[in-house]
Amino acid sequence: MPFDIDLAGSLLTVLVGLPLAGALIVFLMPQSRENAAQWVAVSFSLAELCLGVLLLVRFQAYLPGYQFTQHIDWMPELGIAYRVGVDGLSVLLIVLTSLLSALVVIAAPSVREKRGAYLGCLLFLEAGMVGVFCALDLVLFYVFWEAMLIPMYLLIGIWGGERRVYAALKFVLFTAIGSLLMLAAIIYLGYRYEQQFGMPSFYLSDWSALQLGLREEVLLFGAFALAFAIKIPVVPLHSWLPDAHVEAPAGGSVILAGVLLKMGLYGLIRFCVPVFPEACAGAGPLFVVLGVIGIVFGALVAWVQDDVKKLVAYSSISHLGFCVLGFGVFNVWGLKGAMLQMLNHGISTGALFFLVGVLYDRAHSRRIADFGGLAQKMPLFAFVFLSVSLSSIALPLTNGFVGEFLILFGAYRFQPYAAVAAVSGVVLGAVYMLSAYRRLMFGDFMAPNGAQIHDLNRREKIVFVPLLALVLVIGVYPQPVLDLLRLPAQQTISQLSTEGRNPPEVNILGDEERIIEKGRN
Amino acid sequence: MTVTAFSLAVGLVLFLLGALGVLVRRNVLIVLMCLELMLNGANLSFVALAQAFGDLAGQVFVFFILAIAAAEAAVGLAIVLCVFRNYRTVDVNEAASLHG
Amino acid sequence: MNYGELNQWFLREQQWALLLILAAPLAGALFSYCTISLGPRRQMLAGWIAVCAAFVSFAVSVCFWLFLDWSAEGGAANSGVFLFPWIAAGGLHLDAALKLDSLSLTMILTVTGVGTLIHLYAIGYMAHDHSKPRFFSYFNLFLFFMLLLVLADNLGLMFVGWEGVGLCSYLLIGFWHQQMPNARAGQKAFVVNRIGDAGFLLGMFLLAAEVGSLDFDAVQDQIAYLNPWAIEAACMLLLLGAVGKSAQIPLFVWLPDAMAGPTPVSALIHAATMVTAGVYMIVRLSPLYNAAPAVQFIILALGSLTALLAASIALVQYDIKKVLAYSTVSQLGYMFMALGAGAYSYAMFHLVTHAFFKGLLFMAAGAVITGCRHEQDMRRFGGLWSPMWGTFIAYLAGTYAIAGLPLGSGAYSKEAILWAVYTAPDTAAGLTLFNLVSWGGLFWGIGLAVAFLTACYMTRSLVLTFFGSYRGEGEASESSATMLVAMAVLIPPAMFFGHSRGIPLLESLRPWARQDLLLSQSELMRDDLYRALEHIALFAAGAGVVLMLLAYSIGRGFMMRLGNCIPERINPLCCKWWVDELYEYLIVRPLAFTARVLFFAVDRKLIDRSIDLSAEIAGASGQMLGLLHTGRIGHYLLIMLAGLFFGAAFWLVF
Repeated sequence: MPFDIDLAGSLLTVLVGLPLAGALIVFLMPQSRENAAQWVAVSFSLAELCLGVLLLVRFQAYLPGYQFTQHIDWMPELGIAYRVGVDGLSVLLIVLTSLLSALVVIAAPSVREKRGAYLGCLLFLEAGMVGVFCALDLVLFYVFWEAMLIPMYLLIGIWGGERRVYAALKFVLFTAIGSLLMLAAIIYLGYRYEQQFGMPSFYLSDWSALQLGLREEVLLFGAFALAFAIKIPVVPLHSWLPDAHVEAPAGGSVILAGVLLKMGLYGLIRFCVPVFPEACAGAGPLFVVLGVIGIVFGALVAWVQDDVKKLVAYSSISHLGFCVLGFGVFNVWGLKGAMLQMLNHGISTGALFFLVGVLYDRAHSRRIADFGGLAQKMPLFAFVFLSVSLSSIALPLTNGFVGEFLILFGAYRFQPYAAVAAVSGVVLGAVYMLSAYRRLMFGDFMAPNGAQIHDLNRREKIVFVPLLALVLVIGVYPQPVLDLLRLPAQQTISQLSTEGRNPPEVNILGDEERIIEKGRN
Repeated sequence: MTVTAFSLAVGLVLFLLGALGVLVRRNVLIVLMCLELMLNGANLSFVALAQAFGDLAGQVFVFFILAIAAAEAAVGLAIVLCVFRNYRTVDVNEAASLHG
Repeated sequence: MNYGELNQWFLREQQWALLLILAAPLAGALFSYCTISLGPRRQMLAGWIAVCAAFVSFAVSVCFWLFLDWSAEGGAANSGVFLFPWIAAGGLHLDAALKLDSLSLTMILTVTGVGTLIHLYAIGYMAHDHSKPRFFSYFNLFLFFMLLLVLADNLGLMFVGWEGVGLCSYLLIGFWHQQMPNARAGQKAFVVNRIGDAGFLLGMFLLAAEVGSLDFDAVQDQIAYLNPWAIEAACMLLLLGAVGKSAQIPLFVWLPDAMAGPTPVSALIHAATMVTAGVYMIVRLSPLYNAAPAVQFIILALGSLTALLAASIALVQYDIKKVLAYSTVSQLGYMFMALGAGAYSYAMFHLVTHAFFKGLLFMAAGAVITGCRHEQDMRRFGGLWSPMWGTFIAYLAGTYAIAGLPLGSGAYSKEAILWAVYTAPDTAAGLTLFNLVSWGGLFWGIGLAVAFLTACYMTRSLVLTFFGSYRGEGEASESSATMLVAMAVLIPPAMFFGHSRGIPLLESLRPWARQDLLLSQSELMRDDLYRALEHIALFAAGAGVVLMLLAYSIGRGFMMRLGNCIPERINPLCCKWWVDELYEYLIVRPLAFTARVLFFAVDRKLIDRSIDLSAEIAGASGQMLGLLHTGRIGHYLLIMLAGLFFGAAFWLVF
């Protein structure tokens, strides 16, 4: 059917374009028509979600390579093209993006000021995020990557809390420093490609044929990895995250934690591994160490927070530490776990930020010490909070367990001590999450003066139902998701071991020396 | 001393007098007049050198400079007017909003 | 349909039946929660739904017991069902698959049987509570996870149940969450269990890495090919999980605090079933543990030390539930001793009898507590035998059984364990202590002392609660009918299970018995050593009972003086051997301090400050350069001219 081919060819473009069109319409609507803008935004984001699900359904998990690819020349003389395509990982992340965006848009009426512009920013952001997850041309990727910064900057800077300007600036500066280095590396790689092959290209698949000197490769990898590490964030580079999360409006935090943080790891897997296999393999142990540090550091620091939003922010650092660990071990369990955990973290931490938003909406406070005994007045809220917390601390039958289990097993196969250190995160996770839960929900009822404490309203219920359903479904029957991730994980590993000239498993000792070793034994 | 040398010397003196005025005077109008003085010093040098080398280009430059000087005087006076409106003074040191 | 046809039909449909065992409590949990939308009076329905769900599971379990042939000499019957692959990645397969053999059958019969009764009891106990739907929903959910734990055919699925029961325990300990101490106790239970679970996880990873599978059968088949070091390490790590769940040293601290939950919870979860999960897990992996003698020795040592420590603390507790809680820890120590001695079937035997009598004791204690207006301090009880004689009989029966007096079930299982410990093969390479007594003998001695102490503290609690004169305020009244019925049903098994069904139980658990202990009852009776040990144990128990009876009748003054001669503050028993304080000062506070240092010093001061500082340096240098911009045209011109001059000079010179 011609329609089928057409659809398959341009579905991704439609996915990018639809929210962009929605954003334009919403921006152009007069400020006074906020409710109309809300309806437009909701319908666009729901349509986007439907298309995302369509993508998921039509995607064939057992076929290697990218699907739904589209190629349009953009600046042919520079080798820059509009190239999009998805594999299992990007499909999951696109669906996650469209789901969280739709939920944030649905929850938008809790924003009181300039709601039209807020919705416009969200839709624009959604277009950027979907673009990042399906771009296969490095310049195109960079364009989406940077385009996404603008609405996020506005979301924090306009609709944020008291220190919003500081937080927004910090967020943008951190990200920009990393991404400028990445831009330099992209341009250099394009130049090298033209040198080696006589024609310019910024296409990812072309680049894996690049021959780079070791020093060159390490430096370029460093530039890419720094940009991604800031975004993840890896521990010493994380200090933008708590501020950005605390100051951002609830919806912004959801998107920030749910989707934006995934881009760092996504970038590492999608771009760094095929282009710099050797440097990646060499940096594996470094990622393992950074991941473990992140897990323990994030968990311990989350424990002493008094601001519940900050607590969730630091818990994000801990969870992303698990992802980094799973990435760094470079075996199929770790990678699959890391990819799954990216999805899981989006669901559970997204839900946690929604919950904090609900609380802030009622009481205009985020201090844990201001609250107590909320379970008496808000039983449904307490139930949802508990379920999400359990997913966050990786209780079996919730989605979090499957991911953490695979990551920890991968870490164990890589180096048992890494697993021993990381498993402390499982204990500490229970400590900080449950003690926050206890302080908020149990004991005598307490809330700040003037707070109007009532249970979840209908709009909020609509937001939480899909998230809770995903928590349970992925926890009980994760196999379909794992099937989607099978090929991306295998592909990453094969890139590391065959394209790298020094695959990680091979003993560094030459054959002769090994024989001597054996003789000695 | 040839005519050329004398004219160049006068031009230099005019230019330096103008520059000194621009540097030390605080009244914008006088600063503008000193600017004219500098331009005319330059003009005199152009004319003298054109005469000496028998090249008309120097004299053409003078016409351009005259035109630009007129335009500059017009724009400059307009700016002075604005400055006066905003600051109630024509003292250049008072209008120092751009200081670091 | 006659019996034979029914049997055939059941055998055909046994997979569905196995699923039904799990599905009933899960459905019960959902439906009983749904009653929350009903009015407060009709919420009692939740309790009955939960009881029915538990009873369905029990009935199906009984059918399995009746219709399948468990006594087969060669290969005992077993049943299994494969549901779906749960997690499969890179050669590691965890399936949602169930397995029923005589071991898990023993366990599910106990869990569902005692569970049904305690559900019934809970209807009476929770009659005046306002959150019945929530309670019964959690209660049924607990049953589901417990059955999942027992029926799992691989370690991964067992871990699901393992953590699931931990979750329900957390929810139910903190059930009355308006009181912060309850919520705190729940959190403590969860976190302490999580420490054990971390060990469980690592043990699973080790086994999965070495064996390539977590199926119990696969693990068992591979033992011969495994590195001995790996076996010891895996056993040790899994033991950490068991120690957490079954409240042994060093992770027993959560169980006494867990008594903050409603009494039915203490009876079912923190006495009869969940806390025995660690024991069950080790029995399930017994082939592995048999190959790890060093770990077996550690289990033996941990078990006996825990039994002694907990029994000693139980001696001085005044909270009736705390006495029972420490008693539970102590009895679990017995089970661990049996595990360490390799006598897994005896551990299961004691597990079953303990479930009966401890469940009974807790139910009776709960009846006393509700009868006395939620008073738990035994100093305010006394003389309760006449107003609540039904409860008294139940408590008496439980005490009789747990103290190990003749013919009570506790006597049989306890004596079996002591015998197994005494005859345990010398695990520490034949070493004997000071060349006088073998390790087995030493641990037997500890076990004997614990038996004596058990008789002592149980008699003490019985005397303080039911004899003498009433020291509380108001009238004490008997509990409701459902509670009494539940207790009445449990009295016979608690008293006579060991005598009547002990042998068949041990027969069906033959694959888990220690080879040298496979003696028939008649052989045992002729065994001089066994009879000697039996008599010594009975004597110790009797001595404990008599001593306490004397102490609390004639020797009252002496007891008072004894109690007063050491102030409570420095009495190691009253201070529970300072274990909680040890944790507080050695782990919790240093960790909290580290967290604070990490946040305030490292995160805020070091990382964030240095980043702000770099921004400030950039800003400050901008400010400095800004000083050049005076806003005075003269200055600009001067700089311009100077630049022109120097530029020209530079150009001319060079």
